[in-house]
Amino acid sequence: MSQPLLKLDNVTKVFLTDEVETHALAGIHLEITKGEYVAIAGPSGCGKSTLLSILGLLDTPTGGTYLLNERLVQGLTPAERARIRNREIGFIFQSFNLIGDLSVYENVELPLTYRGMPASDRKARVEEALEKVGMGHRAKHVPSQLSGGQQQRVAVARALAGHPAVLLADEPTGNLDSKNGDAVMELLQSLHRTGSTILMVTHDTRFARHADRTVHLFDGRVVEERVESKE
Amino acid sequence: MLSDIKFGFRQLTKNLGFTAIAVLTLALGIGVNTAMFSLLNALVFDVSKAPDADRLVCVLRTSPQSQDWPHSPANYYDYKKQATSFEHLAAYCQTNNNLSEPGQPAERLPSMMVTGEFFSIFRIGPLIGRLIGPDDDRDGFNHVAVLSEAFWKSDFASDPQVVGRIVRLDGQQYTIIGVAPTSLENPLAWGHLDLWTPMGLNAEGKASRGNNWMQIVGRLNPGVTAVRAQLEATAIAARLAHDYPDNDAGNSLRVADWNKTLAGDSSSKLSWLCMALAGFVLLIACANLANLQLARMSARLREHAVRLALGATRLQLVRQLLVENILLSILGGSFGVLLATWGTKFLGSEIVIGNVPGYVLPVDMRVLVFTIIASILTGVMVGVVPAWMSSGTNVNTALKQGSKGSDGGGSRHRIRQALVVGELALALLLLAGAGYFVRGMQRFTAADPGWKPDGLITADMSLPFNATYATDEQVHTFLDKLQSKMNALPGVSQSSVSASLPITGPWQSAPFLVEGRPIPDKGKEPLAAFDPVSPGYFSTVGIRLIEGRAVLDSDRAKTVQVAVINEAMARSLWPKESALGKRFREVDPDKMTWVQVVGVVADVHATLEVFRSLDTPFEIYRPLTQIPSDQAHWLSLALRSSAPASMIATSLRAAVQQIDADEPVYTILSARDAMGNITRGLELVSGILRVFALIGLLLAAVGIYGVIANVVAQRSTEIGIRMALGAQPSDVLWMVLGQGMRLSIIGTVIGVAASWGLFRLLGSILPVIHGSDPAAVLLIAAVLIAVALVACWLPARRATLVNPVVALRGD
Repeated sequence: MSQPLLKLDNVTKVFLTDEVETHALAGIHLEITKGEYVAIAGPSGCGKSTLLSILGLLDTPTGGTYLLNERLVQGLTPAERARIRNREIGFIFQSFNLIGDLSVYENVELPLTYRGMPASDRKARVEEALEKVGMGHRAKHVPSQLSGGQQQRVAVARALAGHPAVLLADEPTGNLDSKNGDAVMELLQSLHRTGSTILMVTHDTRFARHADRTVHLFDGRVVEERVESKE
Repeated sequence: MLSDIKFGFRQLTKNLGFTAIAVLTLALGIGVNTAMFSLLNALVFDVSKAPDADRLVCVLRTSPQSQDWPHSPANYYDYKKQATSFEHLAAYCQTNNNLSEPGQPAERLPSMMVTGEFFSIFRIGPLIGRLIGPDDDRDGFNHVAVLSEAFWKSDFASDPQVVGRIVRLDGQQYTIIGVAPTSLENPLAWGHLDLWTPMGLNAEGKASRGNNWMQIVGRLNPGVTAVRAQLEATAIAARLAHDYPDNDAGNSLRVADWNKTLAGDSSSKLSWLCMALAGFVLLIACANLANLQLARMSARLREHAVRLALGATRLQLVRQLLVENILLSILGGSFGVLLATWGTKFLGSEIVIGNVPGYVLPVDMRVLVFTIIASILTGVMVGVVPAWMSSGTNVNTALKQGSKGSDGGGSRHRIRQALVVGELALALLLLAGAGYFVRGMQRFTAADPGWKPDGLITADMSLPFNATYATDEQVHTFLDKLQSKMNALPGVSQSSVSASLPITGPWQSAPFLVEGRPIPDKGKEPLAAFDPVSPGYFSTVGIRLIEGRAVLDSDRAKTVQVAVINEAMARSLWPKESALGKRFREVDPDKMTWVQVVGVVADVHATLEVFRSLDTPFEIYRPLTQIPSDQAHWLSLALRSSAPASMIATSLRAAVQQIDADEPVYTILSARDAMGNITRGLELVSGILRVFALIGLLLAAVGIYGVIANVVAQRSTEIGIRMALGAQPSDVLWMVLGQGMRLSIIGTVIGVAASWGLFRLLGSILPVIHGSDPAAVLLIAAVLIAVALVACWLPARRATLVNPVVALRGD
């Protein structure tokens, strides 16, 4: 068996507010191998988003270990974490999180500019990513000129442009109607088919079925892991 | 309206932090303006305390060489006889009287000789006794004096029985007939006066047409305009020029507003300049507060949406918000008045008039009305844009989204950025204005004046026109004794006597003719400054002799009439030859003797030139003993010594007392101190501008900090996204700093462009203080950008600490 791309071992996360301890994650063990499509499901407040933040290096665990590409990522400096986020992780947010003042092209280009990539290389990557999500013809538009589904496709393109090791999607259909939601899920599936590793947080079991495997969280613990049957 | 006021007060008390910052900012802005208006009020608007002062005019003699020359007695009496525009017309001449009571040291009194109608012009009655009238202005009846209120209080202990007392002025007895109130003093025009005496000219004196020494003031008849008076004056001047071509050809008369003339061109323009720059400070304060209000309005969108939903009209909402702002600015204005009261006390203490420090700048009713109007206008300026924008809230969206509703964020942000750009441009103008003055003053002080003020002590004397000094011989004997005594003073290496010194500039200027050259048309003759000087003058004062010789002891009334001229005159009139041996004479028919050039000295620059250019670059130095002795009564003493002025003062006074016990010596100062008294006004302006610049800089820094901090708060989600996508803290830092720097650079560029206009204006007010060097402007621009950079760095640093998880969750 190949080495896991992401590996969490007994990861915990405790929030302290007004002397009250909230255990958002209570000993998570999780392994995700390259090319896998994993859904993390569970009710609101179960710790899905906290887990995704830790996996995306936006947050740090209180305990346990986290290996990304066999590298222990705890104790890294903020600058090193930013570098890993930029090169190895692609984010897809529920509310798209496109920057309103930037064009579609510039939004997709943004992570590449932080990488210091030359403009000609960036152009090729951006065009490739936009074509992949079917938004090449909207490159000069600004987000407010697009529908919600189109905005999320642009967000996917932005996540893809950096050729990340893993795509982290946080409720990617949460702000979309069912038609657009289905289209985005189709897009993720097609990406998966071409080899992308995807980890998606969702509370919708309908969409969780698109994944190879669904991890169910409850009260900060993994309560069930189910491999989805593909018929 | 009452409910708006109540709500406004509630808002102010609810947000005490905001209220405190706003009141402090407004207090600074309005306080500075109130203080400057007090200055303007005292120095420009409220100069004359006379009723109907707009009917007061002065009449000046003009020629192609000058616009403000005095008049001869004969011309004055002819003009008075022919003019019909005036209710009253009078002449006056500032002078000094020596008060010498037996057994007491002689005291010099600054005074004024006036003709009979002088006091009628001002329509201000006596404090006690009576004022000088036409009956006193007669030869033989003129030994009466009116005391100034200040002098009466200081030297007569406010004695109500002072009327009728005899005082000894210039060795003659004068009867005190009354005390004039302070409102008659006009210290800005005349300095401090101790007394007035009647001219009492005899028939010969009234007929003198060659000697011009009188100033004319008049009150226009009701309904007569200055324009009509000018037409009449021009016609009379033409008749005088026709009738007396030797004296008056080429001359005319100019009728000028009395108040404006009193205020003085330079001080008036400088006061207006300070007022205008104080306005810049207020504008920066307004922009700052408008920015704060725009930020506050975002937080109050829901409240405004509810009001609009409940039926408030847009105008009602604007009114409510304006009321809040006006309340705030009136509060700020009240504190501003307190600041201004303190500021005017300080400013007044720094003003020097006639070597006497201190001038009262009252915060009177006019100033208070100004402050109230300024406060209300400030409130409107600060509030109108935020109020209008807030009243245009999209009710539906705002109610749905709460305080994060649709608030026209884009246009609001653009307005805030524009306000900051404006603030920075104004701050740069203030800095540039201060820099202009500081550099200009430095250059003026550092420039070689052509003489050596260090180690020089100066003093003044005036010989009375009485029997003791009636003849040339008496005056010359006194001068000889005086110089001999001064030279013998311990610690004094050299000394001289002259009619003036290069501090206040030449004594007087007059037209002259060069021997062998074509005679120019009347009034178009070359003009030269005439300075009567004693032997030793050039070496004492430190003026370099370039060619020939200086004034000698042997230059006497009956020897060849000689002169030493300055280099500018020699080069201009005799460019390719030596000026030595050349001759000239004055145009004045009473002074037709040819004068021979025996020496050429270096050009000198008088300290007073900082305020006004001299009539002519030509300067002629004549031996004191070769000019009519009646023109050698006002004397400036110069003593070269390494001892302090205070030490020399005692021995100098004692030496003069030994010659004439009735003769006081006054204003004994080091030349540097005397120069400092002249430039003190400019130093004060320079200081004021520096304070303005500092306040402007601080406010602008706070302004840009506020905007960038707000940008960071508004863009925290975006910053979170960028960080999630891998932006390094330094990427975020530079992004935020870049935005601040863009605003700073735009503001700075606008300010630099505008500063050239300001420099041109300043250059026109004070041509000598030219300080517009590009290096200084660039330095100022760099300072402003550096301060803005620091102000932006704080919120930029905060932006790098944005937690992307929190920022994204917040969205």
